[in-house]
Amino acid sequence: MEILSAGAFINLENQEKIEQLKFTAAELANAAMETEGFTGDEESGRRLALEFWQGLEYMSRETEETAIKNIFLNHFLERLRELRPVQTTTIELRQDSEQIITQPIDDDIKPVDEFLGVVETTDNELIQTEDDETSIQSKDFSILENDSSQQTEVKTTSDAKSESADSNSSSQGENQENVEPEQEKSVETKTAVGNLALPEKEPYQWGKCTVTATIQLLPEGCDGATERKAVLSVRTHDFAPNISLVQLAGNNLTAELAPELEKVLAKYQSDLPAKVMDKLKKEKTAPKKTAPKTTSEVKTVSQETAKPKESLKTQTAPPPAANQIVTPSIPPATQTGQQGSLFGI
Amino acid sequence: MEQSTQVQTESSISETMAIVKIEGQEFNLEAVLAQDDKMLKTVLQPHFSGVENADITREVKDGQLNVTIVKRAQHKG
Repeated sequence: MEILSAGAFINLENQEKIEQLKFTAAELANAAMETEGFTGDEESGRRLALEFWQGLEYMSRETEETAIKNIFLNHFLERLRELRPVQTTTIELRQDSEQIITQPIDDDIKPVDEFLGVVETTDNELIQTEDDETSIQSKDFSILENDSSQQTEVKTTSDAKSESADSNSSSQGENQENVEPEQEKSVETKTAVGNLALPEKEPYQWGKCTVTATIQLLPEGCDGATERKAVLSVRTHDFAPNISLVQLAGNNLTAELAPELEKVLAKYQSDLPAKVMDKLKKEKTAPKKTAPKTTSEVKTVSQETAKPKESLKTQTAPPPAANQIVTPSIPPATQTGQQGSLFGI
Repeated sequence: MEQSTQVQTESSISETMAIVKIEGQEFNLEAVLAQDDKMLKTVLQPHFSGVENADITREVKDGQLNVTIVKRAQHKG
């Protein structure tokens, strides 16, 4: 297998290129792990993968770009996980458990929007892609189980307390499942602390970008009424803010603000894809504006190409001069030399 | 010094929402909030820090208030 060279064109139909891309991602991950100082944790690995992707400048169709990028990122991170000793132990734990195996099935339901940037993969998704065989086995395993047991499994992921209450009445096999969510929770808390660092470029996804929401309580009216107006504004990235004016009864401001804030956030969330689309359209049209510059460059080039013609003219000019030299073959001209030829005209 | 100009037309403001143009962006805002300079700056300050020293121009077109905000060039250093 060869490493895919930078700037290569990739399309999803060409399986050979895709395999080369996967191989390249794995090789880069190997090289990254060998470098000193690289911790190989999730966040730094993801950043490094994105930097690699930008540096490689692979060409692809616009519709396939996100999918190909995700393939590269997934295989890079997957390889990093394989090389990390700590992560492999957690993977083994999850392989043994029946309960966690049901989570990747839920993750598959997540919609993938190609216009909203890179869809980040969670640990469960990567584990699922990593070991397809184990996931298939787990799915078969879950099929063999009763529906009721699956329901209790779902409850364990959402609420550990309710699950523990159910498990007290269940068999010992289910009691073993109580231990595993605790391990999972400890991992989740560790990652939650680590995710506080903001990436340089946040994706245009509601859940994965910083959203700024401000509440401005305007002063009460002069007539002593308790009613109060408030300005709620929401903004993310460099998009236009959504500013709305709401009127509150003024009895319990925090309680009255909550539903209004929810409405504003929900509205902005629904408007976000349209804003992203507009921005992408503007970015696409922006290079067209710079196109006239290239035409001017062509003009200058054409002027430059015109200059050699002039030089050619100057070069072609000497023959008449030579004729002049030839014609005054009179003896006086030869006596005075060049000066004579100049002043003799 | 801030400069605020208002182009008065015969038609009064009938639309409840005004259009605000700032930093190449355009969005709707309650006309009540956009009519007064101080209110407008207070509302926009969290998102556009340069609005404090900006030129605000108002115009009413077809009953809708159009507000154009242009940031003033600041001294270097």
